[in-house]
Amino acid sequence: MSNNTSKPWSRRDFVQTAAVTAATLVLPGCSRKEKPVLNTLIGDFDPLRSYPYRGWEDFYRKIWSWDKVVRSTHSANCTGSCSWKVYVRNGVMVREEQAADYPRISADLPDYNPRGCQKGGCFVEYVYSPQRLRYPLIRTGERGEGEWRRASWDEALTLIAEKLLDNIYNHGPDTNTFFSVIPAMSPVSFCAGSRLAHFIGGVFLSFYDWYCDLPPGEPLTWGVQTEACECADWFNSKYIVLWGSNISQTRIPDAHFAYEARYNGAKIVCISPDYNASATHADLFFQINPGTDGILALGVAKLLIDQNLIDASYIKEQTDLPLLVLTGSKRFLRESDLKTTGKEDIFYFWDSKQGLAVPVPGTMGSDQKSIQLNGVDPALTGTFQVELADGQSANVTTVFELLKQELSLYSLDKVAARTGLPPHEIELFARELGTRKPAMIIHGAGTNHWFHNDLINRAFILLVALTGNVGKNGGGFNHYVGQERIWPEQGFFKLAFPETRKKQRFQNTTLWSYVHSTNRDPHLYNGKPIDWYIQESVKNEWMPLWPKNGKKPRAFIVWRANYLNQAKGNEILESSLWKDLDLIVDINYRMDTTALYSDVVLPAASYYEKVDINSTDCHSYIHPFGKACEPLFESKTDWDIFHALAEKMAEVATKKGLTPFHDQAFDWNRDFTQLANDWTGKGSIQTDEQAVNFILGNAEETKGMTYQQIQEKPKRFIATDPESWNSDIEEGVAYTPFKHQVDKKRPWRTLTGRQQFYIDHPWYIELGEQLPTFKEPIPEKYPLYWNTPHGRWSIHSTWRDHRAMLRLQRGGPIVYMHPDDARKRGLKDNDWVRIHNEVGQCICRLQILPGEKPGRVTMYHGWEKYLGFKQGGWQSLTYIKIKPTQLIGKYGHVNFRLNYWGPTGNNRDIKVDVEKAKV
Amino acid sequence: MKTLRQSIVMPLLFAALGWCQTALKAVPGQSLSVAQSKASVQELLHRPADWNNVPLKRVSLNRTPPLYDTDEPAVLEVPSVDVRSARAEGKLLVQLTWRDATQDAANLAKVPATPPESRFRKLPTEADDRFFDAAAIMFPAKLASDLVAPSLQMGDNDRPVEIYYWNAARGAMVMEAQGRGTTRRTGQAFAADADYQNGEWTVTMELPDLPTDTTIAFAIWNGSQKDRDGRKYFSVWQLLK
Amino acid sequence: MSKHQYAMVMDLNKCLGCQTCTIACKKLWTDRDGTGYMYWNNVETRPGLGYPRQWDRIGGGWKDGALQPSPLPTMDDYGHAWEYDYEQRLFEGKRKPVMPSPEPQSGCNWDEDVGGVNGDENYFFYLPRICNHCTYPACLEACPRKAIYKREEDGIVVIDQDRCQGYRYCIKACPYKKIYFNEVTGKSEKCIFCYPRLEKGEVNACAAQCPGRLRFVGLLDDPESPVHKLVLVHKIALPLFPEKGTQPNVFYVPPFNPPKRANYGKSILEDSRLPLEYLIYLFGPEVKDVITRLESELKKAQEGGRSEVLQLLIGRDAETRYRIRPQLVQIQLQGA
Repeated sequence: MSNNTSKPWSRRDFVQTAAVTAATLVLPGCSRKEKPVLNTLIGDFDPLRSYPYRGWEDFYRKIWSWDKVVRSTHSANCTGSCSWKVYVRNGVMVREEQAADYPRISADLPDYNPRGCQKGGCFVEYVYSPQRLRYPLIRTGERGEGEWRRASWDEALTLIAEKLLDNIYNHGPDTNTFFSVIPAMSPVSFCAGSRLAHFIGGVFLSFYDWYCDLPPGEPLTWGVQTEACECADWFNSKYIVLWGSNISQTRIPDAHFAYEARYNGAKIVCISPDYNASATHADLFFQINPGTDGILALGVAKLLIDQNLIDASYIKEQTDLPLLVLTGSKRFLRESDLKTTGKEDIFYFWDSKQGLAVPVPGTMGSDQKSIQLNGVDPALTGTFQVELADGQSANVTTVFELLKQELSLYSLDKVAARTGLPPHEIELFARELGTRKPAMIIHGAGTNHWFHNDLINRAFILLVALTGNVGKNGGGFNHYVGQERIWPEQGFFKLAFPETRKKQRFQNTTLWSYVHSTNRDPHLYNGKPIDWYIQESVKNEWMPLWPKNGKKPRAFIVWRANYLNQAKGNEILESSLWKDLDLIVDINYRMDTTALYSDVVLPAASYYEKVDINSTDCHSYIHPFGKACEPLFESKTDWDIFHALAEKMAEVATKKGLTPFHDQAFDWNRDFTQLANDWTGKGSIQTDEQAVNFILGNAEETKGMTYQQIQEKPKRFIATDPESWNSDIEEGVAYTPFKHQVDKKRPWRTLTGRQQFYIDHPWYIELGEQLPTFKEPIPEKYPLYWNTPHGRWSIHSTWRDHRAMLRLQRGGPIVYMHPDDARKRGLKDNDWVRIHNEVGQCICRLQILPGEKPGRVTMYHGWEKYLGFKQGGWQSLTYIKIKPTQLIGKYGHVNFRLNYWGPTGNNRDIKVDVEKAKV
Repeated sequence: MKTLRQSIVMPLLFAALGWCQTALKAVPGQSLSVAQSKASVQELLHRPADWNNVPLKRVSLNRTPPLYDTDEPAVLEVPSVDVRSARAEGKLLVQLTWRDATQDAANLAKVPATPPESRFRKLPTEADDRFFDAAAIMFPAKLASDLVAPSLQMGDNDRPVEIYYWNAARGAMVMEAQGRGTTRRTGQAFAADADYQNGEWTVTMELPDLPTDTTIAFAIWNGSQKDRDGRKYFSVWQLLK
Repeated sequence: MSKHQYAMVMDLNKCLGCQTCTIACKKLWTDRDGTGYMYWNNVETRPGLGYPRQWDRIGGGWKDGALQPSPLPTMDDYGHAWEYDYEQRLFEGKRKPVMPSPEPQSGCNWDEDVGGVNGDENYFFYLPRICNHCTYPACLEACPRKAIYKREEDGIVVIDQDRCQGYRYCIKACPYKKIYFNEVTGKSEKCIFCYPRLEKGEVNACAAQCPGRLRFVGLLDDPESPVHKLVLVHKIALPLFPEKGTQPNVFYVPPFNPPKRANYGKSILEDSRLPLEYLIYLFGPEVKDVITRLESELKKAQEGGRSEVLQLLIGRDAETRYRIRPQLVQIQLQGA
């Protein structure tokens, strides 16, 4: 007992035992003299040292138990493509955990494990949740009311089959429209429907451009849809610029590569109007004014050139900057200018050595299929004279000279003032970008969702091209918004569109949604309304428009997507396009907004109840979905659903004695009595596993792999198909694109065979956008930018209604606002507020966020209309705007191709105001 | 330190109150007359009228001191409990009545038999900081040849106790103990009836047929005072007569 | 004292605030009746309310050798586990928007990303928290039934779910408020450091599932373990609120925020967006030295050099980050 009796409870010396080595170590934060002492405890044991009743510990051991574990993944369009293990106990999926077994690329690169986020970590709850679709449903009330009657599969499929056939014969096959997104996340499920669309002549809608995830600057500058380095390559960088990309929120499985790169010697720059979870880990944070990223990039380009921090030899070989342009017409100098029989796709630069204009190798018209300069030294600067075909003399100069002229508009002071950034820090940034190598820009929706996204992209790409960082490990312009990369692409195309894409109707969804609804953009572009540009584009066959001949779409089939919830201007669409549709079918595992507003809902298997594969831009592995159990309730896999629909259509066609339909557009005689046979590839692809193996076996990336094999663990691709991709898979090296061009001197897939910054299409010249330039956001009448980024709590609309996620937020949709803006409006944290503009309104709760930029409010996107809003939704404030430059076609490499090129569904130029709601 | 309070202060307190009880027969002041009832056990449990003729003993309650300086003070809100006891059908029925301004009870949902993973909605914890009114009757687990009562602090190794414990939210359960900190549920339930009216609890418990001269003690917990464990009201040993 | 002590280091410069650790723990351990509101692992934005609200200001821990139990946090301090009436809107045609119930007024991540303001500039970081499995646990001392004990083989602190009677003195005593009451069972529960997994050689779920890869786990007395190296050799990881006296075994590499506007290039001691005083509040005065050393290591790496401690913090793979030794710690349990 204690000797000190001055207090009833006083210190008692702590008895040290020999085993107490840990206690003798000087542990931080608790210096010896402060160590508390414990009294002798009464009773016969001291729980600090040992405990006699430990049998109960099995209680928690039993909780971590399972009788089956199955590998699967998620198909949500997150770019994660993470392999997970699903644990089953007594027939119930109880939880999942990242498989964390991606093989190492090299000893120096951090590995990809564990790969997966909090959303994937609770998907199991969706499987059994009240939102889960269990039976086919046919609506009994109005669309969106949620009144249904349960139907049999037979009844539902018959209804659909009859309507689809009816449409074909009475209105045209182009009145049947199909919408499913992102093959990479589950290509077999995608192909199930695309094959049906293909064989019945239906229209297949685009998505990458519609979601505004396509960076138009990539097809324009590089002739590719999107090509980025795999994320392990971030670790190779010494300067990572997070520009419009909040990787801590949107690249959760990959963000670690950037922050680990920092420990390995990289500097991180974060450019964003709000101070966010990625900015906290940056070395330099630029709190830029919204919509001014383009001018910052151009100002930095000017600094790079002025300070000679450019890689001249790289630029001469790999870009169109040395190409000659006629100063009069502002068009490239072409062979057709110099000779009457000359080609339109042969271009020139000025060889300093010879002192004359020479044809550029590797352009689309060139005989030389290489961009190797072969001793030519193209001039970057200077004005020269050439003799045209008609004998006249003409002045030509280089793109680089014209670029310098353009860049002279962006002085440091002007850029600093417009962006709101300190001029000396802009200079430091330019200096570092020009000297720290390799350097990369990780680009995101924050800059890509603006109206002038093509200009912004092009300006960014300019920076990494001027500094020679494109096509190098650790460098480049890397864009990951949207999981668009289906690595085994050629195998996929064969499965998706068996008679080839040439015999498939494709449609840009932005245009389709705009034209077939009452959505109208009141702005004028170069004095003309967008409708004029649309008409020209369709007339010139630059952009397709289905259905043809003024018809309206009749049937709309959606799967693996949430068209209505995610659509810009969805309230406008609801009251026009949606109303005009005769049949809306949704195939889903949960009742999302689109399903709620459909006529027929078919229950699909969840991600843990099917066979498929998954790939992404973010890594170079393939891995499978698997069945933790057979599809639950009455659900079926997408593959089986479309198979059944094909069979039903064949059955109906036979019963009705339908003669084959001659589809004139493709000179294709469609015998629908044979549809099921066609759909299964004449019986060769019946099951989803066969479909997986078909893709794997028909792609260079995966040749020799089978579904059974890849269930063991994710496998790295073995090669790339040069038809699709621009670098090889190298063992021990992270994938980065454009090594074929930079190392092997293959031409870029552009008109000029180079990274093309000069676009001399007449519309571009008219609009002053032949070079990257800065244009202000489209003017709108309200004071606050309406910012709807991707966030951590959902993948678009998936997980927006997920209880475990909602419990870690505030339970429902929130709009974020800076304290100053809130104070001006008398708003307090957690108030109900009304957000409104001329388009519509929504009512939700407010959160005050000091990190937000004054003059802007943010709602992370994807909230389902039916949850948490007292009125409207996050798309109630938006409408569709189309940019004229994105309607062009037949310009060398710039042609419509599904998801490669077409108007994007921009949304960040929208403005609103906010007031307290009367609730 | 709490433990010193346990090892020094508490026994001193209990000893001061009942020092004579650990070694001698209880003095007449602590006797508890048990009536013989003509009613059935069921009637006694559920019909207040059947207790009208049973005399009550107003047993004084003491309050344990707070365990920590930072705990809420131990205000004596419940000074006594009225005890009535009667034998019927070979059982001993004991009815406790005490005044308590607030009814601290809850209808806690029963845990379904199905495993939680098979249910989308699990039972929630509605509150983490509520304590419930409770009452308990303690007596020796085995008859002692001498008349030495067990320690009031839940007995000791040589003299274990049984505790018939009723909780306004969790129901009636039999516990056993051999000293402070060793109390555990036996898994056995027992019949009890509880009623709260006009600021007063009446709890009737069906005990085994304890013989005369059994030492018996009472405890009351007042939920609104955050009572639980040793934070409670207690009586000294009474002697059944 | 225990023969060995498992410990964890969290590098706050890698935390994404993604809450994958929170979900990993939740789906494994607290998806049962009565546990909906519990987050044995939580991630809170700092500065901020914390979970439960104001836990760092209400008390708990030791002072001058005496326990200082605080009042119990209320359900509003923790936040209720909201439920949703999906069925009426999606399937029953009732047309009322789906709303959380009870109406949200507080929650475990209520002030996500809010942080503090320095001048007019925002700063914040994420603080993931689990039970610290302290060397001198206040909870263990507070339990009148001695139902909380420290496992002798590995130092993990657990609450005996048989012997616990839900008295909740432990909750009051814990300075980190990392014990939670399950009113359905009437018992208190807390982080168990995933002992069932460690016993089988697998690292804790919160660590294994963290995509930020910021957690390091091992035995403090194992010189090969990353925790030993980070805490005792490089000395760049500190416990939270050391003055509470419990000697936590979870340590943090303190966080940076970028410099304020126009201060690019300035050191953290010259003018910091994230005030040093706040870090001192959390980690004690030693943090000043730690953060200065970390800053110079980062500068060294960014100028082309190589920093040994930063290379360790990269944590290239699971072998680097976790060193679980089931064979070493195994003992024959008596009285089990």
